[in-house]
Amino acid sequence: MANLDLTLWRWQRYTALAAAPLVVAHVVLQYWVFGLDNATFDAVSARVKGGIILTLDVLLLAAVAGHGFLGLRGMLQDYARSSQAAAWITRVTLFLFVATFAYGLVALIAFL
Amino acid sequence: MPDFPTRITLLVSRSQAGRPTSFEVPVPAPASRVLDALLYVREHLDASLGFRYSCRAGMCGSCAVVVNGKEALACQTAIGPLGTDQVRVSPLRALPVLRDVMCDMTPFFTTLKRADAAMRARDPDRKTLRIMPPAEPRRAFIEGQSGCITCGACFSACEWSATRPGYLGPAAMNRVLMLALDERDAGGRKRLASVAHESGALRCHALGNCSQVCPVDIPLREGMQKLQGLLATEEMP
Repeated sequence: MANLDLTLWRWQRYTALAAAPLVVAHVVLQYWVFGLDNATFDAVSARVKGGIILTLDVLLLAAVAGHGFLGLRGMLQDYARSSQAAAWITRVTLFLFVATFAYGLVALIAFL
Repeated sequence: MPDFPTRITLLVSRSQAGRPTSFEVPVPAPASRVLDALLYVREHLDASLGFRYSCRAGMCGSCAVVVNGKEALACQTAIGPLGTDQVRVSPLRALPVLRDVMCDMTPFFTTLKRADAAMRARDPDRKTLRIMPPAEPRRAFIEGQSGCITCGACFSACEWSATRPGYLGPAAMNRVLMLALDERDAGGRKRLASVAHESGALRCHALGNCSQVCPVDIPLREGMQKLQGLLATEEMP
């Protein structure tokens, strides 16, 4: 568990580093490159099928969801009074991350 | 008319009574220390008052207490600058109280043992540790973290020490950081493993209470951030 704690703690930092430029790229692309007028299903589908946008979206989804749920895990562990409680917090938040990521993937697949 | 209180009400926590006892204590000068007031009480008013002191020069750390809600060395805390004639002295937090404002420091010193915060000389054949003079550039790596007098003030001020059993605390982790950066120590960066867990550096939220109360001004919060930076990148055994 000690190595897992350190690994997850490190991943919270890595996902923060990844999320920052990905979020900026996402906003720039949506608002300035493609424009809000191009937020139709067909236009988005065409972009996603291109591959690069799909890749960016998947990375963004993973980074933001990962950072968010790892942060939630960290906060909840502030209140864990036993190693069992800490372990359950880890299991639940990691499950929520996987579920959120999977849900996001399904949403992206709809555009393909 | 002097601009400091010439008499104060000293409220001292008492373990027997279960509530603070109030003493009227004269203050001869603004530089009179809280320790002077405690000694006056013991010598003139109540010989049973329990408190610790030793060097009276801010070097041993024995007299660490909580003064008006903030951890401090009693021998270094002048009464005049407190700006009040009500001085409340309590024992350090997160430690068992032996009597009045004396605490059992065992849990605090145990964190140093658990963190393996003792130096192991890289060259075991040397009779003495190589002196690292102030001008030596490598000393800059450890200068900020050195000088801890193990008073326990940071341990008391840290919100985790009282609420999370087993938390190592700022002093122990600062010592580990210093040793990890000290080229004379055989442990080197491998020492970081002793704090790379949820009862160690991973739990610190950098609130900085530790830095605010350290009587020798060690930048403990910045040290914790430096420690976390190392943990983010160093390979762990």
